[in-house]
Amino acid sequence: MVEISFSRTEKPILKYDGKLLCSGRDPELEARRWIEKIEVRQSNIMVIGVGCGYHLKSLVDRFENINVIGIDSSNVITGMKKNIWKDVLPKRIQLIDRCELKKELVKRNLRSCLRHGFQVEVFRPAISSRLLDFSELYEFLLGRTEEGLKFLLWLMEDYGSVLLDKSGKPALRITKSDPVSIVDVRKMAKNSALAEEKKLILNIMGELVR
Amino acid sequence: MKILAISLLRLGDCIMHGPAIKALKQRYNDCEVDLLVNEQFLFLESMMTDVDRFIGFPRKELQQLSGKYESQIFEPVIMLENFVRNLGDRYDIVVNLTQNRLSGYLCSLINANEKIGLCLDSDGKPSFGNAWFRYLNEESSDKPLIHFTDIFARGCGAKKVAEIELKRTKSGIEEATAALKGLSTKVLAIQGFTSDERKNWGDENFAKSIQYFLRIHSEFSVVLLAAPSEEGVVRRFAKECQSVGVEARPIVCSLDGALSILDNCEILLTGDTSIKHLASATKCKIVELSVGPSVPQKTGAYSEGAIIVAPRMSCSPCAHSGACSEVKFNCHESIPPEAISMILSQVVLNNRLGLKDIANEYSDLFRIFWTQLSEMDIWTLTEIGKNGLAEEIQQKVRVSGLKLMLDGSHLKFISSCGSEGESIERSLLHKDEANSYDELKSMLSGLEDELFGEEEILTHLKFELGRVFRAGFEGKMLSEFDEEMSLALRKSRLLQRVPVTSKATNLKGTSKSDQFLVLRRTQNFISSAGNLNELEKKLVRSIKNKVLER
Repeated sequence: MVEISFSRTEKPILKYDGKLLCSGRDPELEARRWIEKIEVRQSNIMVIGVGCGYHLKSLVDRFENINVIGIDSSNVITGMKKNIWKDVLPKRIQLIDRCELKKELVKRNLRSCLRHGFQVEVFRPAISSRLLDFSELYEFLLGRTEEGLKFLLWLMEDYGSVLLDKSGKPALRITKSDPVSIVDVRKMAKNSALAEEKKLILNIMGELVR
Repeated sequence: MKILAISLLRLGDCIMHGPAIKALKQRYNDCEVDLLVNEQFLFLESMMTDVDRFIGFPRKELQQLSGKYESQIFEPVIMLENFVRNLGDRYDIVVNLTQNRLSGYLCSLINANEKIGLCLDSDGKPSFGNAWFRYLNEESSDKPLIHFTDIFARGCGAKKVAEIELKRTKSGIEEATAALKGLSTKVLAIQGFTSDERKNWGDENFAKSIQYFLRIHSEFSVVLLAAPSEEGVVRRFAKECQSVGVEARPIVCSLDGALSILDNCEILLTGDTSIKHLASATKCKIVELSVGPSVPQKTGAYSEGAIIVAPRMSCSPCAHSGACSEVKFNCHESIPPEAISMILSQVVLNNRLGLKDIANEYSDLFRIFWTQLSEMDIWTLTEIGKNGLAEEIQQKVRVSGLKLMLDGSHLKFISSCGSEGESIERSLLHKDEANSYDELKSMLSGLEDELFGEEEILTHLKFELGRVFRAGFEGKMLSEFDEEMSLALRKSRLLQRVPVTSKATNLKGTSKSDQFLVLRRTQNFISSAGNLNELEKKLVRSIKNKVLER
């Protein structure tokens, strides 16, 4: 259940199941502080936790050349859009319901913008009461689970077209309990038909983590 | 023409690559050379000559991203792809001066018309571009003959030896002036620490050797050099010096600051450090302690007249990676501080005979080497000590022979063995040891006889190999040849040092095509050994003629 409230700085903020999704004192200051800790490496940033949206807005305001994709549960997104952004989405921000992330249409839309890479960030205040719910999604987006790796390979067509089998699974069975790493991708690539250039890139990565 | 040189090892290695870059500049007129270094060494831009542009390789960032759970697994992949894409198609030649897998793959990845140095395809199959880089890959003996700097420079086309040159910066000079203020004009510099503790002789040893040295040379001031990251270590070291009554000034400085400080020092005592390579670009005398895994033959101070002290121990030098196999660092203990103080003293006095006496006195503990750069147009390392002449001739003939072979002299109608032999004769440090020219002549004859003996072994092997080929790899004959080859490899010193990795082994039980490949490689190997033998014989004859002329 999403409810609206106001911060001490008179900014509209949200509560989810009675818990605040951002700072009750000064959500904009909190957003600025969060941004200071972010090291922007990619032009696309996926942020887990939409919260009250201040941090997403600050992120695009602060960095001119980035696109932000906020992920959260649908009721938080709807509540935030309606109450805080008044249904006007700031430029360069997309919001995605976490349940829809695995849907074909959403994935296809994402592919065009994420194929050149993305980084994953977490806005903890927005999900602090739902950490467990989001941990699986976090690992998925990082590519640390077999499903996640499958998703990333699918996004990166150059790799995915060779390293995913006909059923869309990674060609190498990831059976171990350890998280998936780039070394697993290198193993998959070893005897595959992957382009020489891509194999060389993966070999270099393998040398760097040795 | 645009050239990209790849130098992705440590700081000292980048400095050692200076002569190779100079060689590229001389070989290709009006070329532009970009140097790819690990990002943290971009500051070298203000110091290295002949480089038009420095490019930083984000190794640390890539490693951090790859090793960090919180980063998306393809993030570093895309970062690397972008990095390579940004290098673009602008290079005509890519030269790999690094010789490891990472650089080998990278070299393959960068578009260029010509690649020099190690290139690896995605299956790890190498190509080298020329004989020098192939040699670098195949050299695996514990007594290498040629310095890395020479291999890279010659691999890049150098015909003459070039000293390491570095630019002085204004800020470095100012730093040095401030750091040395108030000290006497004669300064002994010490840089005793590296990141590998096996290479660190120890504060106490250094402090004692300075203490003994100052008893004789009280006119000297002592400075302890350190990088900003070593500040704590150098303060501790200064206290250790104080505890034995030595006033040593700790100086925490930048690399260009260190270079200008060394310009003002008379002598440097150090281990296998990048400071040693800096000192090679100055007039400062160098005494290098080569302990732990340091291999002076490969990375010793690349200058004329440097002194290298190396322990005489069966485990020395130890493997590049891994821990010391002993309970304590015995190689550190085999070099007494009082001996080092005496060596420093003799170097200051330019007394090579004094060094010889020390070498003889401590011959059971350590060896003293002298470096030479100019006479033979290649860096050589000569052991100082008794009975050194025969060994020196042998060593120099080997270095020269190998150099000529790698340069392809054996393929030329007129080789340069004559002038090369003269250079060797001129460069002999122990020449005075021979009581007469007859003695020198007999030494050379002994060496010549040895080479003729080697030739006989090779002729026999060639004959046997021909029989195996003619008989179509018949089983019994193969086994016999296998045994002959193993015996020859044990007996022949020449065969042991021919730089080829695949020798005729495991012929039994393999398929015919595999046997054919192994035997072809063996044939090449024997042929290389023959070429080397021929060149060495010519060199010995040339030295002999030079001696006879007298």
